[in-house]
Amino acid sequence: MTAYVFLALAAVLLTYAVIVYNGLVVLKHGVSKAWSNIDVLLKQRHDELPKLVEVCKQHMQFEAVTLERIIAARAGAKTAMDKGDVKGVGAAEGMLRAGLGGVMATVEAYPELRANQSLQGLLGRITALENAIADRREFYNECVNVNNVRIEQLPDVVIARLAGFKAAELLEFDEGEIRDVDVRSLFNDFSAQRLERLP
Amino acid sequence: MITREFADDFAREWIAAWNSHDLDRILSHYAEDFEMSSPYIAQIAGEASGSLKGKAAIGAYWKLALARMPDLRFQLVSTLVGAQSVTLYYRGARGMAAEVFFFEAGGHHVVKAAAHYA
Repeated sequence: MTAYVFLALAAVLLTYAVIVYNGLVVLKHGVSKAWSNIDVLLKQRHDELPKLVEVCKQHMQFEAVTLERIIAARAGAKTAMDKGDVKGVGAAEGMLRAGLGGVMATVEAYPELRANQSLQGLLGRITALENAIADRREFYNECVNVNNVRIEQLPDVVIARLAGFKAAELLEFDEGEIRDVDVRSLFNDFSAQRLERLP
Repeated sequence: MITREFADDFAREWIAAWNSHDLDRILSHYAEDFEMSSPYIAQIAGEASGSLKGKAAIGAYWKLALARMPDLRFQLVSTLVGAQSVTLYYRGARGMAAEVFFFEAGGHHVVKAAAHYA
C-alpha cells in the first residue's frame, strides 16, 4: 500500500515537473522569437544607413565626424548582433541613435539638404523603422522580465536550475550616448508616416 | 452551447477586468495556452501573423498596452451570442472595436480571441 502511495506521489511530481519545464521552454522560445523580430528590423535599418551616409556626403559642409560615428556604430552593432551579444547591441545602438540624432539635427540647419527628396525618403524609412524597433524592444524586454521572474520563483527555480535555464538579457540602449540629443523628438519630427503607438 | 446569461456575465466581467487595469484579472478569463490575434500584435510585437499564443506572451503584450494607456476604459455596446463563441462590440481607447471569443468545449475559459478595430 505504501509503495502505491509513493508511486502515485512520484507520478504527480513528475507530471508537475514536466508542466513547469514545458512552461519554461515556451517562455525561452518567446524571448528568442521577440529577439528575432527586433533583429529583422535592426538589419533593415542597418541596410539603409550606407545610403544615408552617401546622400549626406554629397554636401561638402556636412560634418564628416557625424557620418564616421554612424558607420562605426553600425559596424559595432553588426558585430554584436552576429555574436548574439544583447548588451553589445544595446551599447552600439545607443551610439547609432545618437549618431542619427546628430545627422537629423545637422539636416535641420541646412535647408537645401532638408529639401533633398532622397534624404527625406531615407529619413522617413529610418524613422518608421526606429519607431517599430522601439515597440519591439519594449515587448522583448517584457518577455525577458516574465522569463527571468519565472526562473527565479519557487517552484520553477528548481526545475530551471536542474535543466540549466538561464536569465535572458534586457536590451537597453546606452542612454549615456544619447543624453545630449533628444533623439525621439528628432525622429518624430521626420516621421511623416509615424506608426500609431497604441496596441 | 453558450447561453445568453453566460455571455452577459462574461461581457460584464471582461469589461470590468479591463477597466480595472488588473492584468491577472484580465488573464483569468483565458486558458493557459490561448491564442490572441490583433492587428496591433503585428505592429507592436512584430509577429507577422498578428497572433500570439499563451498567457506569458499575451500577458507581456497587454502589460505594455495597459502601461501605454493609463486612461484606458472600455464601454460595452452589445453582446452577440454564438454556439461556442461570444462577440463583444465595445467602444475602446481608439474607437469602436469588436472582439470574438471562442470558448473551450464545456468550459468557461477563452481558447481563442480575435480583435477587430474600426
